[in-house]
Amino acid sequence: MQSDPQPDAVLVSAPPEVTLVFSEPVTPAGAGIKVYGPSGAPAAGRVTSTGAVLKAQLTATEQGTYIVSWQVLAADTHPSRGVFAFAVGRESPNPFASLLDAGSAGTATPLGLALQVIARWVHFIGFALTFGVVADSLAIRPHQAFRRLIVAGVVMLAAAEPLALLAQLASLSFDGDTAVAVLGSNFGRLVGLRLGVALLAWTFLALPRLWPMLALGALDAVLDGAGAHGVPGWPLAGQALVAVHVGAIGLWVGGLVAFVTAPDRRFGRSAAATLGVAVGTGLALAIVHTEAGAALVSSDYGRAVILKVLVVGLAIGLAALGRRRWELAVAAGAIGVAALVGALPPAF
Amino acid sequence: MKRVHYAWVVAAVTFVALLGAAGFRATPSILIVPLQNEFGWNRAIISIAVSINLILFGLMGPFAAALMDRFGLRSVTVGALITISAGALATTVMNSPWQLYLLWGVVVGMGTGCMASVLAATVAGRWFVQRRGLVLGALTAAGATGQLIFLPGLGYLAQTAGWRYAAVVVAVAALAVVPIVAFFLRNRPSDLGIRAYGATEADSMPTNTGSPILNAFRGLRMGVRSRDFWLLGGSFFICGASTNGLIGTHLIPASMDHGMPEVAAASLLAVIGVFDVIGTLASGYLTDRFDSRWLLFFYYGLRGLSLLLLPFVFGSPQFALILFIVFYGLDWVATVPPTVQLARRVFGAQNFAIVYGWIFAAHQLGAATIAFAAGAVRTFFGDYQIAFMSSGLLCLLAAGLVLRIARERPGRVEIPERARVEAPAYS
Repeated sequence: MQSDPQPDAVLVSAPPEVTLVFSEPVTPAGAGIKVYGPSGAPAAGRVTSTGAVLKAQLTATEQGTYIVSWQVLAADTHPSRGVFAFAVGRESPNPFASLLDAGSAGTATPLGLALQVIARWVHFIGFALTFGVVADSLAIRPHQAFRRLIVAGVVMLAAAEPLALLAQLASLSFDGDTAVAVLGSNFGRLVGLRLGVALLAWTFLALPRLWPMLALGALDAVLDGAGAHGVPGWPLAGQALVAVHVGAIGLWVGGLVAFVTAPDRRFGRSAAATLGVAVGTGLALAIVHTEAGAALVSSDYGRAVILKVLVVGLAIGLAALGRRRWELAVAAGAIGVAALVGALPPAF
Repeated sequence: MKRVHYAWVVAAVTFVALLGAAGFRATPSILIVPLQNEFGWNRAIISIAVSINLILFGLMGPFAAALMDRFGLRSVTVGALITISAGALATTVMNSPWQLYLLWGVVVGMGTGCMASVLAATVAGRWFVQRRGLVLGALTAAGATGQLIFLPGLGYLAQTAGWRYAAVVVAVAALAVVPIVAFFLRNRPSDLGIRAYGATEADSMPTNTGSPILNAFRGLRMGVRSRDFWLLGGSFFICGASTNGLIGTHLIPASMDHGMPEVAAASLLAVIGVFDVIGTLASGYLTDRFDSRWLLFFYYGLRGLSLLLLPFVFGSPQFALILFIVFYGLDWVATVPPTVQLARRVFGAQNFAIVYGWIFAAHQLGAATIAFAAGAVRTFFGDYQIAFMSSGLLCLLAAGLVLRIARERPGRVEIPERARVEAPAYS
């Protein structure tokens, strides 16, 4: 992110506006840009956004330090915010200076990150229970007990969305304006579409056949891909990989749950196939997002990827030993780590 | 030459009566500005009258059905037409707000409430066994057609000659229908010694006696004890919310927010009206052939998806918006024939009209609720995306509700490919 005025600049005269230039298109969340003058009075006027550029008109009549606080949503719905200061004439105290300590620009707050991970975990488990169990009952065998699992999955799919909204707000700010801006953005559309999938899944439960549910699962995987990190230079590649990855994990974990509920020998082969696809796409994602492994140790994202590889490796080991219950428990953990990987900004 | 079955005469007369009464549904939107100009009443005063009118229009249904059971189709229809004409004529000499509340709100509201969906349901239910859905579709479309016919003409008249002329024209149109109704409309097939159209047995349904008001509440009690009543009422609530309430009230301002000129935006609603007539007739035809639950499932499901995708449509090529409008128009009140049919199947020939009256009241309640809620969203937050998308989600919910109607226990529903041939109507 670049700004004009630059952070900590001391200017001779007040600029007419504050301009922020991001690396990708953004939409303002809530006010978008707030500026506080040396006396603490708001100094920002109308905020306009065009593509990756966010501007606020400025009425700076006082001499001294101005604090600029901004919050935006990226095209992939990830929230970010930041605070910096500049001065007109001379530096001075500012009642909002404490905002500067609030953390580095461009990352979610710890609470926001935690909530995001929980929301994603609930969503992925719901996805596995709904579509994975349906696929298993269509491909291998139906069973009475599966219905309850599927209903629980649908409930989790729906419950994940309010959690995701809370997570966005925790990373930005808890106020009505921000909530409305977040819901009115790309993120709001994705929440709406994912809730639509959950409701349709509930509707499809009343159908005489289960296969329409599979089409819905594919749609949901595509939506999950749409909310994922892009790969620079490869439009849609990151999104497509995530969609396949999510689908494969859902089939694997859903199949595991079905197996643990009602064992059937035919599960082994389908588990090997789905887990293979999940591991393959997962490794591809890890490679492109860590600069071919260079950022594995140096970034939070890379370290989370290492953890994910270890946990998945443990799950594969347990699968080889035939300890399906333990495999399921570790798989649920692996989904948690995957949720963390998805919520962290990639190294590239 | 084979004689035309008298049921078709009854259907035609009812169609004309509904057409004549439709002018009154179109009038309030035309009167707002002239009344403001002449009396200096503010928008709030006029809105109160319109709200009273809408509430009574919705709530009158079950009582109208009970009145028709007790006193017959003909007397109730003639009474209603005379009432609304008198109410409209009297407005031309009013001079204070309470008179507007009484005349437009109470008198015309109650009168039009008797000429609403319940009349169509009762006529189709009593006179038709075969083709019942088609007749329901045609009678439901009459209201929409009437508004399309009256709205531009009345608007022009109110602008050039004054609102009193518009009021007189609708009153005269309603009065002109009275002799036709009085002469041709018959209560039941058995009054003429014939059977309902396509019926194999004679009509032997006993007439409901006792107080119509008590009967209306008896119908409500019967309804609320049934799970299917809540499923039908809930889905119809959502239907009203997503048509009249959301699109009817807010499509024009939302389109203008996105840079569409007002005339073009207003013509969107007219396009919806035209396709509404086609869609409702088609829906009636389909209701005679397929399971009503499947029809409703597709209507609500597709409507929900189109609402969810609407925020993606605004600001993109106009073609997509027009496609949305055409589709939405087809789906507008297409839900009425299958809903009436389901109500009849669940609650039986004798009682369904009153119960359907209550279900229709839920429709109007939904329209009023969302019209207000979406307006509030717009006022406070300056964006309709939340309102459109949450209405879309509600429609998907309705799609799930209707599939669960008339199902004995949870589990997979068994829906026959084609609608079961109904038992003879009044056996």
